[in-house]
Amino acid sequence: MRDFTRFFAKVALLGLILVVGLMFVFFVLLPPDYSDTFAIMGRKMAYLQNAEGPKIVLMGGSNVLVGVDSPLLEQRTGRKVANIAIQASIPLEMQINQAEPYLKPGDLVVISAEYNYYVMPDGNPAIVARQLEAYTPGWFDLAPADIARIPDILKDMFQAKMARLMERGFYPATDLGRTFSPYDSLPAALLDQFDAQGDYIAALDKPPRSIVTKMFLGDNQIDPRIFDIFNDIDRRVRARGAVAVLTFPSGRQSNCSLSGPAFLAITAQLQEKVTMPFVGTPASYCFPDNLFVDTEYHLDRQGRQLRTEQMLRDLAPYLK
Amino acid sequence: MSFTSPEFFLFIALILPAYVIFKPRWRWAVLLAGSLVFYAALGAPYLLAALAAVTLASFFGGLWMGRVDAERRKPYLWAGIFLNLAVLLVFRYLGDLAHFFDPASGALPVFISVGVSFYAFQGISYLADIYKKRIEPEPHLGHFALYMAFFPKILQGPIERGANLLPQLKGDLTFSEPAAAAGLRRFGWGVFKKLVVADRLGLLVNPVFANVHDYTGLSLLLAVYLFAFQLYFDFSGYTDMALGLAGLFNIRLSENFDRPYLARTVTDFWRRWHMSFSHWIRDYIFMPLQSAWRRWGGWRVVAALLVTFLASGLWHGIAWTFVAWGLLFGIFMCLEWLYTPYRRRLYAWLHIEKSRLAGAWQVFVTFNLVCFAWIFFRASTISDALYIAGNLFNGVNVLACGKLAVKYGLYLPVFKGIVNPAAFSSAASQVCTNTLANFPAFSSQFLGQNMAVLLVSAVILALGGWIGKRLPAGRWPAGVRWAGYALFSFWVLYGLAILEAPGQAYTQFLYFKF
Repeated sequence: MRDFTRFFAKVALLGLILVVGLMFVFFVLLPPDYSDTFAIMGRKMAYLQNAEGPKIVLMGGSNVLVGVDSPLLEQRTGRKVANIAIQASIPLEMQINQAEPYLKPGDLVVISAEYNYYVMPDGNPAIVARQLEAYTPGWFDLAPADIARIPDILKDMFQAKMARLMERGFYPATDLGRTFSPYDSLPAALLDQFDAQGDYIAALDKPPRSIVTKMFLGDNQIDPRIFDIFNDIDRRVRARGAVAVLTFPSGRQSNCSLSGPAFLAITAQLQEKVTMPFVGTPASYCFPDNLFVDTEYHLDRQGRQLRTEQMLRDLAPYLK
Repeated sequence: MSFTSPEFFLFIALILPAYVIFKPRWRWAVLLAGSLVFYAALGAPYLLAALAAVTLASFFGGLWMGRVDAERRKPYLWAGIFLNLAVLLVFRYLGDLAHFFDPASGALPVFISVGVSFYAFQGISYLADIYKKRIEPEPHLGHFALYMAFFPKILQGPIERGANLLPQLKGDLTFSEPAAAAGLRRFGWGVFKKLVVADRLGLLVNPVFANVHDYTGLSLLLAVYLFAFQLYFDFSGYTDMALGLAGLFNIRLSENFDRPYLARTVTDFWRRWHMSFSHWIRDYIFMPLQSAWRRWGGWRVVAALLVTFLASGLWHGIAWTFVAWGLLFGIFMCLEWLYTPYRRRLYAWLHIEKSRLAGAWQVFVTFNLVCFAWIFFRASTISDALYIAGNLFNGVNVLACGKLAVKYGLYLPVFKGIVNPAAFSSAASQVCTNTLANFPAFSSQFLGQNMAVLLVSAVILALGGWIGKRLPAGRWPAGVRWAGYALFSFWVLYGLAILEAPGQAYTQFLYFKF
């Protein structure tokens, strides 16, 4: 028994050394990378927290991050607008967890999820890890599915940090060692590439890039879990005396022509099973192809203005 | 429950303290219960029935053989062997056979048959050893059941002989801190070989073998060589884990590998590769056949070798690829048996019997013969294997490739700030061969971290083996030892973390299917 106790103590000591070593790597050798896109989350949350009077909270993926002109919305509505969206792979459940404590009666929550979200509502652990690394309070806002995947998130965080270490130590001055980037289309952003409301504004004047038109959803079926997710969000927003509405992401005209029936099918199912009201139609958010910077969802300056104007028209009944 | 899954670590965290808490004379029961739970966790209850059938057939066959005179033992031997083979046929080969005769039918469901061929062979060897009076029958069903089911070796061996394992299980089982520490070190080494090295090599090899017709020339050649190492690190990694786990309980299992790619002859290779299996086929197939056919003179060896290696191929599965693989090794062995006396005379005449250069040449030739045979072992179909074999050197300009290698040295993306892989790839396609450009290593997915991990791991493997032989870890100063453990564990975690990037999933052990 003494032999075993000693053995157990040694194994525990090795485990402790590993944990301390990992923490050293995590927090000392490789502190959070506050220079990339996800670091903006702290500022977004501060803006949301400090917004006075009835406000508009924008949620969704990068179609919202890049494609909504929040200052214009503020100017036309007289309300503060907090754009807390970053990327489609951060689940809406996490976003509502983040926004809920700051919602007040009279607030309007506008959700515009990318179409692929309806097929796959789970977050991407690598992206969630990236956000948590840059915005530590996010640990308390994880979606239920992501709580079950914390080991995956930690693994991805470890991987991202080690990628940076390898870049520094093994092959400096190259980006070939990165195993993933937050998203291909947008470069790792600096904090000054966002406006005060949280919109990403550095890509607005980029020339349009050639994008292959393909069906948005193909044969994929809508994931039935999203009905519960939306209804839960609606219930929680109402409980705060606020209102939540669903709207549509921006889409390229060529793809709208191709995927229009799929959009309508999704809309029909959502309207039937989700308690949250819809504003607009998929077609009203389709814009000419040349107004998109890189992906299906990222509008340029002119496109963003057109979309924001459309949103203002659609949201008018809720802003009285 | 794989050796590398979180559930398995929980399993060990439960069974090891239970093993220590129980009195030594009852520890076999803890291990047996744990082994059955481990095997049942595969989620195929019928496997427990297969294990029970093999265990009971071998146990009672051995027991009854022990009670009769030597002349009357044969019926019990054959009855026991027949039952073992029947279980093997039903659980392991029936699906294979149906597929073999009618590939499109899918008439029989594919059973999970993991472990069956290993413990069925163990049962047969136990019966044969009693028949030959090499061991006494084991009278205790519990000890015998543990001998058959001991969880570290039930899935992929080693195929243990009664003479080695049974005596260890019969007495009071003990816990020894040095043995457990050595076991843990060995387990960690196995994890490293499997997860960091073999699975990473799989990222290069698997795409090529999955679509062989998309590749030609050097891509195929490289894939074949890398598969040789993938298979070795995968299987020997498993064996290290198995031996390490047994060490936690102060039980010694048989070694399965002894630097097989340094073998100087194919015969020597089979003395070093999957030793528990190769010794089994030598003792229980080759030797009896050779003895039975002794009146055939020299041809008896040739015939026995061919039959033995054909059986070895079929043990891996009923498929033309395994038939070809087995026969190929049989032919290599026959040619070697015929040629060896002349080689020895030639070496003696040239006075190069002890020449290192001649030895290196033999290692090189043997390694290449083995790699050639691995083509048939790994390919999905015989036509794929023949395509690979026929296109290994397709479109290769050896001289230009040599010049390119001199210019760029080894392909080291670690230094890709200096050597531009795109330029290398382009130069390779223009100057040397157009057959390497689409190799998976040149895709951006693999560049960078994975290649760096492979290269650093190769250094760790080389140094680890070299240092381990000369200065066992137990003799290192404590500080150095602990720093080494921590750094090594960290490296394994890192290798694992980046391996599991999207689309790069952990793969099952290659020998799991056998």
